[in-house]
Amino acid sequence: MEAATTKKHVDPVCGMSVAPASAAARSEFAGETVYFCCAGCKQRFDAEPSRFAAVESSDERARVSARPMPATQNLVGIQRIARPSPVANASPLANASRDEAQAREYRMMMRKFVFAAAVAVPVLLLMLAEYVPSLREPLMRRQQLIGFASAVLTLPVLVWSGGQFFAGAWNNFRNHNANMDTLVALGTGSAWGYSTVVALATRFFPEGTRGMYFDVSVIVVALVVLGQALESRAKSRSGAAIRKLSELQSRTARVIRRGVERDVPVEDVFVGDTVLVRPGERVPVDGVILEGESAVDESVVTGESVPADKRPGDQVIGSSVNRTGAFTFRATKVGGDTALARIVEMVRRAQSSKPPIGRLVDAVSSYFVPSVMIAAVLTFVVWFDFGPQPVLNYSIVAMLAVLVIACPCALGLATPISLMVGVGKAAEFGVLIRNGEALETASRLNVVVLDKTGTITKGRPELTDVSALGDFSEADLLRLAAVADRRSEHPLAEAIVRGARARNVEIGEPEEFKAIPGHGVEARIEGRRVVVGNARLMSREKVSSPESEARASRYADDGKTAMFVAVDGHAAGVLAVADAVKEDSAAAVRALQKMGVEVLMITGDNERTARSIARQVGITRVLADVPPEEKARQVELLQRACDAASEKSDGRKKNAGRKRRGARLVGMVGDGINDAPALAQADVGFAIGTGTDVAIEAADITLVGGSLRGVASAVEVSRATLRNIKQNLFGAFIYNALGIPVAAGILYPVFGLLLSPVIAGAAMAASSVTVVTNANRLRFFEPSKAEEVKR
Amino acid sequence: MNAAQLAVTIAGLAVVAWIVRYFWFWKGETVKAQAEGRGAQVVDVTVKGGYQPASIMVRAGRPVRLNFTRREASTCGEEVVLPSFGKRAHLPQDETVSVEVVPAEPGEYEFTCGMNMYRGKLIAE
Repeated sequence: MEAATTKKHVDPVCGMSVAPASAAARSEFAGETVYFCCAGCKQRFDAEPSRFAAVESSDERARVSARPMPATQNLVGIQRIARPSPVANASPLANASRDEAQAREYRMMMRKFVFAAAVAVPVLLLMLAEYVPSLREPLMRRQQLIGFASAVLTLPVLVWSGGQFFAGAWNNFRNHNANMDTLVALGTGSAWGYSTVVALATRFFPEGTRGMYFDVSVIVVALVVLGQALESRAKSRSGAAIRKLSELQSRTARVIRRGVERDVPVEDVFVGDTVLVRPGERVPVDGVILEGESAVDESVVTGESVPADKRPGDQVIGSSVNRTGAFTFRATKVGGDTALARIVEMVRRAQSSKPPIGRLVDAVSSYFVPSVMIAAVLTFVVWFDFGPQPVLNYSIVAMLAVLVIACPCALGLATPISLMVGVGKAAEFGVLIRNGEALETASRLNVVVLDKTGTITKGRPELTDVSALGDFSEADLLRLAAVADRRSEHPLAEAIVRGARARNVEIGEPEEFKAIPGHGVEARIEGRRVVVGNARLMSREKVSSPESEARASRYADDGKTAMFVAVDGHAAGVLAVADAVKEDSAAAVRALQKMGVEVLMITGDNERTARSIARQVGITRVLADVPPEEKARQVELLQRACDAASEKSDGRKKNAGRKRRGARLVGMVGDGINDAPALAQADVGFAIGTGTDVAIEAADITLVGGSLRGVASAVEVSRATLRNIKQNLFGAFIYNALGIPVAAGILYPVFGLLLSPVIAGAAMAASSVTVVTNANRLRFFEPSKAEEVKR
Repeated sequence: MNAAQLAVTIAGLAVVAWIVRYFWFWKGETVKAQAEGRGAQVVDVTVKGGYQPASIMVRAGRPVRLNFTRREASTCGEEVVLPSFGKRAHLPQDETVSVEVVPAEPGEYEFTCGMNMYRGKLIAE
């Protein structure tokens, strides 16, 4: 334990780092020394040690681990787990050691395969030589010797290359379990055992029944080991998405403390720290920009490929890449609370869940292996009783084939491996799927209801039109309006100022400024008197211009808000401000419609505004004037209507029933806060995330990027994943359902066809590799509308 | 049907009956989790051809810590999944990996290997 004194400890009560030498107090708990920053912490700990040493991982405490661990970890008996927990699981280091282990395992299995294959060749040649007429006679005379030699030659293959099957089978057997090991061990073991008995006691077997199957035992071992090696390699790829994500975590951060810049490990960044990020570097944790401007590529988290412009006050997401300028930011979320850590955690959870479609397999798989064993026994009996001579040979061959061809792995792998790849893939597009059930339901959505504000639109007003009158140029008009509005805090005024900045208009200071509540602003600029505001302000100022009023009315038809500008008592022009539609909303709606999903819009706004937005994005059905608390009710009504359309509703309103009955399913897309009840009511709730809120409770699916494109991607990726699962399940079921009877010899009476156990072994190895490979195809999935949406 | 055929048939059916009884009609023993004061209820689970113990009695509403140790080279058990809790853990051979869950409601919560071949359950009451 001497290293313990140099190791930093964490006060389990307050979470501070404590060096043992400078610790104010210490206690003994569960055989470990616990260090405290102050006497108060010790007092609290001693009063209730189990509370602070409790194991709830969500708790911002510490844990005492008394379990045996490798020596290096044992020293850190007490560790703070709240901050690093989710990422610690998926840290690059853990990944690396896991990759390493997997690579080692692969190499080992390949060695086992090469050895088995090397032995199989001469054994196979000896067995085949019997079929060469000129060799047959001399070989038959030495049959016993050859058999004996083969037995000795093949035993090491069974012991070394196939040892894990026998060990696994035995371990399973003692637990009253049976798995693939059981089948392989039974198959190869009985082939070898029977052949050895024949070799040792040849004369007890009548002429013609002295078949030996040493070749079967080694070749099956070789093939199955090869299959497992390929499978393990392919499996390691299926987790690639999440590994990629977790590797994006920066290792260090440049923190400014008391004016001193220094690099610290990312685990030592605390909330409130000021962090410096230079161009080209990754943002280490989540935070809010203090100083500096830059374009930040957030594609790893949001799936959005265009870098986002960031200014002081904007949020930055850990793991995004800073492109252009240096900036400092205040850390707001660190460790396990960062968006990235929560995404990784959420994806992991989803990958571990089970979609309803997998339940049938679960039911089947627990009965599968014993059933195959029974089938093998019955096959033997039937061949023995009714088969042609030599019955013993046919019985043995058919039984071996049945044992070896059955592949429980393909069945067991079919669902989870596709789910793993599919959920990971979705995360790459900024689509976080909560669990397998959400994925399955999303794949079957018929209707999607989109909230308007913040979902279809950007959720904040923007300057859309500038229309100048008389001698004013548009630039002049905009400049004057922006300068006048500069000091106003009204959202519409802010929209004008933002719009002017975006159009590179230089905004000076007004000489005088006055806000007129409910009307607009009044300012003196370059000696001129400028007023910007609504129609009421214009009539108060006695400025009237039929032309500007005509334009204003046209803007209103488009759902925009008009702002009049007057200079020195004369109308100068009209500006229009609107909650603009997101650039890709229309394309996303089109993509959904193309997939056969009906798209509706729901909003609290009036019909006129709602219609105009709906027109812009191509939606025809609009539910307008719906107050927020009524949205859930509207979704429910839609579900009822869908039920009525597809079949008679039995009045049950709970979603589980609907999903099972194959009713038309309704998805709702909203912001996750105001729309939470509606999201929960819908069969699938999509929350549009903004910035760093990634795990939204009410949502089944979170769209991190804030783009509607995510809805289309989510539906598409879910469909692709479900299709993949079905292919896998179908393939695995069909494979076993056809393979086992064929191996048992069902084709023999008609076609005289009996499968060699060697072929059976090859088929079984191929089937599980096929399932994994098919699932990995999902890695190449691309949402089909991506190009169109990006433009 | 000659004597040999009769013998093989009877033996075969006997084996079938035995398989059914041994694999399907076997009930493992249930182990009760040890509670550590107000902390978690802790159970050590060995993964070796299955879970030992495979049936664990716990109190609902309190955290449960399952210390899994995989004591076999076979890769079947290398992944343990607790679907009701959305937890999945990789179990390197001969290393103890703790999985912590809180069964909020009384009931049965399954845990299985990655391919659903090994099965165990928490019985919360």
